Amino acid sequence: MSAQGAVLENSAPGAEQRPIYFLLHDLSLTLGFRTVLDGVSFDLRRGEILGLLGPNGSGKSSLLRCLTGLYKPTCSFSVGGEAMRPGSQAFRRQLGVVFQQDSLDEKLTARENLHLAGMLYGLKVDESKERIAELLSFVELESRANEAVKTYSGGMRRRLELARALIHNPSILLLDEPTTGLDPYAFEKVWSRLEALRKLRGLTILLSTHRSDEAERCDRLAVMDEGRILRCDTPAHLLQQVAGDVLIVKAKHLESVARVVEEQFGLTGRIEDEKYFLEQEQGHAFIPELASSFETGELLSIELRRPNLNDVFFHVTGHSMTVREEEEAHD
Amino acid sequence: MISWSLEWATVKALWRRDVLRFWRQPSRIVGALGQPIIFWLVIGSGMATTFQLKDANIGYMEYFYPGVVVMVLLFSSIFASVSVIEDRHQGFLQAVMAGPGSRAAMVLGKCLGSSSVALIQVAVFMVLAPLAGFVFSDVQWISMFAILIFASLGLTALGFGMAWFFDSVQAYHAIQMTLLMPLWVISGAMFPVNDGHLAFRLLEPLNPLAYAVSGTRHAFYGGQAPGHLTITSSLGLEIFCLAFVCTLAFAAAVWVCEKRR
Repeated sequence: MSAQGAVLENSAPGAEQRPIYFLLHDLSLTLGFRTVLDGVSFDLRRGEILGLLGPNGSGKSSLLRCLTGLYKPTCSFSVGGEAMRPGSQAFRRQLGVVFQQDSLDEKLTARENLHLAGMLYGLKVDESKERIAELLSFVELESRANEAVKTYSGGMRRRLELARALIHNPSILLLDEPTTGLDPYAFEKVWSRLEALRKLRGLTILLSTHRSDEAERCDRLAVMDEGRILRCDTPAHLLQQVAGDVLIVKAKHLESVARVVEEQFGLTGRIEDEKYFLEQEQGHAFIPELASSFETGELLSIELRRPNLNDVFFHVTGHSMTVREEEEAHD
Repeated sequence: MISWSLEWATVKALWRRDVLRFWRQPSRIVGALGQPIIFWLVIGSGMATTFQLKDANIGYMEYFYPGVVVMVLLFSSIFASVSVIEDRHQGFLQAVMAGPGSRAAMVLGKCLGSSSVALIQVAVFMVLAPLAGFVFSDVQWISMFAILIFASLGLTALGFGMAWFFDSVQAYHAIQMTLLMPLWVISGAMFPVNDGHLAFRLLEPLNPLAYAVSGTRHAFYGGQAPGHLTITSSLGLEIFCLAFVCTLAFAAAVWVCEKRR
């Protein structure tokens, strides 16, 4: 599937009616001798949440960095029909960015951090004060606003980052793995704020993620691997591509399970997180067959579930997101 | 179309941040005063008995004092710029770069912020000038300010460029200390260069810190400052040379910052 094809495949219900915010065509980026992004094309529509789904090293963060002007790629790019350079001042003014790492000053208070952010975008003092009060209440940090950020929990920092990115009323928000390392409660809090923003202000959001639960909440997903966009579609459509159910087997020797399944049934699964995953239609009917192929005690458990976006990623790329991350860690 | 008000906004935000951070850390204020005082007292009193200036009758504590003023600037600038390294990859500068300002605005804001901190530290140390034998009413304050601001802007711009280029705290400190400490020692801060080794005398006109030390002496004493530069006794020329070096360092820092993303 070519990157251009990925754009044409955009078939989110309702997405076509939304006006196009920007069009990015054939973006490539080389750092040193390494091709980091290779012919990436997609469009972003006003008011949508578009997720870039892929493992670490797939090029998601680099793509966002190109849009913020931290890298200079080759591409053609237009915002509202007007051609411009991604990362140009005219485009950066419209952007709110939340990076993967904190960009807050730990030694300063939340209020001071927001005030500095307001200064960066040329907000007047009164305007800035008003925005800060509004945003602190929006991210529910009013009561801790005058404490140094170093005393904040991970979830509170993320919410403050979000407030910082919104200080100048941006028309588009870029989020680089906004919920990495957050517990489910903090994750929900961040997402409830994002969804509120979209609902209240019609904000356009482009985010990168490798979390399946996060990806499911996007309107459209661009599946990224090795610097390319392989598919771009709604989570529902992407999930339809995975046939049937997913069986998850726990066993003492996962490699031998994989071998037996391949030899006896001609099926290929994947090993991830010390479990064996297998896509299979009519999964419930297959479980007895599978179980009877092994000696008693060889299998520890068999679980059946509906496919999620990790399975989609495997289906599209032929490898899992976690394996890629481990490879990355070994590099 | 570049929006100059947004460029200036970036400069202001970074400037304000450095000053705000400085006041937030009382240890830095104490350190700013403690370290140079110890340096001045220990080395000053150690050398006092053996030191004799050829053509002026002043003690070493007095001779050494303007040198320590420049040392305060030097150390403060080196330490203020190191934060660029961590701020660049994770932290404040990342958000600044994604903001509407240019790299030049970012460099200028950071240099003005670090310089302000350095100048506050110098101002605190200057309170001791009467103890060294100087009279406040004799000091040419405007020239003093010009010398110190250009010297600190030049040093912080150099520090910014180095930090951005080497991108490692260890390498940054190693290079800065190896480069700048010897330049300070042979700048005339500790001993008059015209009495020293031929190599020191040859290097003097090329050493920006020599202009800073000599300029500070001139501002303290007026025209005939003991231990001033061999090649000139013009305060105006010293200010001009420092402004020139400062502009070069700033241009180099912006260039490094644009080239190495």
